[in-house]
Parts: sequence; C-alpha cells; structure tokens
Amino acid sequence: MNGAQLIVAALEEEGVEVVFGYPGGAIMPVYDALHDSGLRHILSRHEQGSALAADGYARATGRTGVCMATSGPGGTNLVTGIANAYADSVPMVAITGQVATPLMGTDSFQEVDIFGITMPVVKHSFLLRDVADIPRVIREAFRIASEGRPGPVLIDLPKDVAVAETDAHPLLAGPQPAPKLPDAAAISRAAELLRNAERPVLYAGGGIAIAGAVDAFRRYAETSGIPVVATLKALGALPTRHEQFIGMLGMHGTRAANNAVQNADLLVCVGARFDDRATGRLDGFAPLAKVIHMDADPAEVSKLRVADVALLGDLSGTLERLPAAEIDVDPWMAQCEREREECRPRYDAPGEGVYAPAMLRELTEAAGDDLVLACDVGQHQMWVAQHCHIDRPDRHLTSGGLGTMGFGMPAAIGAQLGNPDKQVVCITGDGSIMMNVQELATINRYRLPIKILLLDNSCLGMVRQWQDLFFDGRRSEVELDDNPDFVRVAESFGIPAFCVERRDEVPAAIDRLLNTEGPVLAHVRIDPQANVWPLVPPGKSNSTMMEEA
Amino acid sequence: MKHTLKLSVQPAEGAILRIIGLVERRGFNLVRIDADRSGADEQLYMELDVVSPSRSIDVLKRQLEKLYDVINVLLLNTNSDQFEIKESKAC
Ligand SMILES: Cc1ncc(C[n+]2csc(CCOP(=O)(O)OP(=O)(O)O)c2C)c(N)n1
Repeated sequence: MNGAQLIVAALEEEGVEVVFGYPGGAIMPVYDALHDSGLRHILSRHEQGSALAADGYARATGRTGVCMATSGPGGTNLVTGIANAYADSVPMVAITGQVATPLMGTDSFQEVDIFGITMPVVKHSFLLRDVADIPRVIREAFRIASEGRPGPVLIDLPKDVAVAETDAHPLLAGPQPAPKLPDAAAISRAAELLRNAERPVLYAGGGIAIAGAVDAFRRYAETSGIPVVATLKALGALPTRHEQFIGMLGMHGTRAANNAVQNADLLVCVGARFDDRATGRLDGFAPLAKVIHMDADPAEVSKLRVADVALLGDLSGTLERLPAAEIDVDPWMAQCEREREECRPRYDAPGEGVYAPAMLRELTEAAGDDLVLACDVGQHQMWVAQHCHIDRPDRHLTSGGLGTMGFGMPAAIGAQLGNPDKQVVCITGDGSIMMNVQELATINRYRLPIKILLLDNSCLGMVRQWQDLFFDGRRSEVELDDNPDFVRVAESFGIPAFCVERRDEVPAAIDRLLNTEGPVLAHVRIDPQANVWPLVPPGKSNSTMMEEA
Repeated sequence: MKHTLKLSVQPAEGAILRIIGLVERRGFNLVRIDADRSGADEQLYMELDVVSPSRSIDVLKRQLEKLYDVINVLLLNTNSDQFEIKESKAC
C-alpha cells in the first residue's frame, strides 16, 4: 500500500462516506486511490465550492466534513471555506496535496505554504513528512476536528509521501472521552444567581447545535419557563414559533429580544460568544445583568464580557445538572411576550411587487417539516432569519461568523448529499449566487433535487442599504443592473428555471419550486429599494434600534 | 502591563509560529521571546513577555492552552511571583 491508499483507507476507517474535492498534480496519488475505495467523491467546480460543501454537509449531519484539493491554487482556493468553518466552529478535515518534500522551500511549480497560510483559521494542522505518521495524523485530525469546540483541521500531504510504500494500517477510532462537566461548586453558584433573579433571559448560541444539546436546551427552557432569545446560528434551538421564544437578538434582531436583554437582571449565555453582531456596542449590552456563561471552550469565558459564573464543559450535561429557577418568571415572561406581539412584523406591504419577507414566510409555511434552508449572505439572509419558521438549528445553514457570500449553493449541495430524503432549499441573492455560480454544474452532475430561490434586487442590497443609511446615500459599486439572465444561466447548466415578477404569482411559484422533481431555480424580482428592518447602527447599543421610516 | 508567560511545547511543525502568531493576532505585543530546545528531553520551552493596553492576559493564556502543541502555560504573576498551574487540557 502507498501513502495515498493508506489515507483513503484511514478515511474509510473514520466512517467517512462523502468527500468533496477537485484533483490536480500533487494530489493525483489520492485520486488514484479513490478508484478502489468505497468513498463517494463529489467533484465541485471550484475548490471553494468543495470546502463550503463539506461545511454544509457537516452542519446538516453533525459529522465531520471532508474536502481535498491539490497544491498551490487548489489549496488557496480552499482557504475561504476553511475560514468559514473556523468562524462557525464546524468540524472539517481538509487535505491538500503538496509538492514533494525535496522541492518544498524551493519555489517549485504550484508550491504554496498552505500550512502557513491557513494557520490563523484552523483549529490545528499537520504537515505529513513521513508516511508512517499517516494513521496517527488522520486519527488525530478527526478527533481534534470534532471534540470540544469543533473546527477545521488541515493535513498537507507532499507527493513523495503519498507515493511512498508502507505497511502501516489505519488506527481504529478509540472510545470517545467522557464529556467534561462543570464542577458542582460552579453549578451551585449558578443556581444561586438563578434563585435571586427576577428577569432572567436565556441567550442561546450556535454552540447548542454544535454540542447536540438541542433537546437538553429545550427541556431546560421549558421547565424553567425563562424567556429565550437566540443568535443567528441558534435559531431553532427553540422552534421560532414556540411561545417562549422572544426573537433573534442583535443588529437585525427584534426590538422585543433586544429589550429583553437590555432589561434582564440575569443573562444565561448557552454556547454563545458575545459576538458584536449580537451585542451591539458591548459596554451597553445587558447593562443590568449578571452573567452565567456555559461553553465548551474555556477561552470564550470573559473574553468580551466578564462572566459572574462560568460553566465549562458539555452543554447537555451542564443543562441537565442546572436546577430550573425556583422563581416566578410569569410576570417577566408576560412582559416579554407583550413586547413581542407589539413588534410583530407586518406582511401587507403596499404595491404589486413581490415582498420578499412575505414570500419567505409563506415558503416555510408551505414546506414540510423536513425543510433544510441554506442561505447566502446579505439582506435575504437576514430576511430568512427574521421571517422563516425554523424548527431546528441544523435546518438553517447560514454563514454567521465569516458572512461568506457564495456559501448558499455549496452548503445546499453538502446538506442534500448528507440528507438525501430532506427538502433542501437554497435562498440566495443576485450578488451571492455569482460567487459560486459554477456549482450549478455540480447540482446538475449529481442531479441533486435542490430548490434555489434567487431573490434578485439588481444590487448588492445589504451594502446599498448601508450606503444609503450611513454614507449619505452615496452609492458606490453596488448596482448590478447588468446581471445575466438567471433563468437562461440555470437552463444552460441543465437546471429548469422560471421567473416570478408579481406578488399574485407567489403562491403558484412556491408550489412549483417545492414540487418540481429534481433541481429547479426560481428567479424572483424584488424591490431594489427594500431594506432590512429593524437595525442597530454599527457601533451603537442594542437599545437604539432604527425602524422603517 | 507586562506579563511573562512560560510555555512547554511539543516540538511539532509550525509550533513556534502558531504560538507567536496567536499572541500577536489576539492583540498583544511581544517584547521578548526566548525559545530553547537544546535540553535532553528535546522539549521546546518558551518564555514570552507580552504587553497589551486592554486585553486580558487570562484569556490569552486560555487561548494558548487550546493549541494542541502546547503542553503547559504558566503565567508569571507580576505581583506575587507565583505560578498559576494549568489543570487540564482545554477542550
Ligand atoms: C465574499 C464576500 N464579499 C463581500 C461581502 C460583503 N457583502 C455583504 S452582503 C453583500 C451584498 C450581497 O448581495 P446579494 O447577494 O445580492 O444579497 P442582498 O443583500 O441583495 O440580499 C456584500 C457585498 C461578503 N459578505 N462576502
């Protein structure tokens, strides 16, 4: 067996079924080894598509996503996808081919120090200099990628190591280490804070889904009766239609959710990290609250907001050990609910044109429970977060930390391959879709039944909105009136498509989108002037929300 | 305020770069670096003097502890000359 064959065998040993990648010179031995393996390789049309698809696969399945690329430009094309996984703590193993070790450091053809380039955006990385290290490195890479707070791990594989003969064998995966739990003293300090609280709020973060703690979180929320607000990535930790769910907090959150946090006397942070998009101006965030911070990652505690009590370790186990507050939260809950009802969005916008928030809401009302939404980045991403019904966080794939335009389609591809029976809908914009438009070829190649909803406002809407609001309306390089004809683009890739221009066409369009067999794209024209409301201006406190004029 | 960190490190590919890169990226200035791998145990020992006007040294310590090549981080307590001993590998 050679090194490449050993790598492939070790991937199989790790239970990998699907790998996303793109071949080239330095990684050819691995592609050759794929012939004789049970791995399913998905050929994307750009390595960024491979990495983002591996990310989407991981988010939708909870399993580690795997991508691979050749040396030089192959590796650099992976970088955005690796950084995306890092920013959202997604388990991923990325394998890059490298020039042969004697050539490394000589500026040889397609040599790039991908190990160095990716250092700030990986959880860990390996440069495989010895074929005998392959079993240990693959085992370690999968362990590191998925344990504690997950993240991407890079393995750089020089070509001479890939072709070297070896009699090593893959290592068997050992038993999972027992999850770490906070000590009893910390739990009782937290319980004490809960006992003395009058206006507690559960601040749900992306860590809940990552830790597989959705059920434990729901049980805790329901038995304690504490109002829940969520970050973008935690939407669905409690179903967004649940009576205790007050809303998303932060820049494009609801006034009710932001007010709940501003008025809270105790903030119970569950797997969140006080990101600036959620907190607004940090020194004005939850000014009256003591903080209990639960996280798997010790480095998050008191990074941005000092925690009164830190509960470090596995979220499910922590939530199971935390006693529900023995306090009467009903009056406080009632106040939060009242505010939520007062700021419910309206869907009766004037005009005949398609109103995107209403269409998105109707889409999730029409779709079944098995819907997975994969979003791109921009206004449409925020409208999905604000208006779609989301029942579980792993059914809402969104690039939260990095905000990567071009995430939507590859993420949908990964999600669909990981969940062949679910209905996967990609919500994208006319700017974002062009960032990875080549992945239409991947959808067609594997006939993935992905439904693409393209909300076309003929501009980079989110940037246009900021220019209008914060740069005196001086629009700079945001108009996209020269977009291609998206219906013909999709059709030329072999994907049926249709256009939606008026509001009265929306119900039929949703029906057609959801019920067409195989892939389909709906090109929906929306108002180029529409904005996302409400909004906390950058650098301002969450108590200063701007509403539609 | 200046702090001294003492690290013992598994001498793996890129370990020194990873440590230095993290310190600077997290908003600390390095004012002194000492690295030694000449001992019989072949382990890498590093001493870093770092300053930051605003960032918490405890958070930096925990961020360094998360690195897989880092075995141990001691923070030289500038007031009492006491060492804080890391209990277990961060998760
Ligand atoms: C790769 C990348 N480049 C630039 C940006 C900055 N950016 C954020 S939103 C946005 C506009 C997105 O336009 P579109 O996809 O049409 O969505 P819309 O806001 O119009 O709904 C831009 C350029 C980004 N997030 N990602």
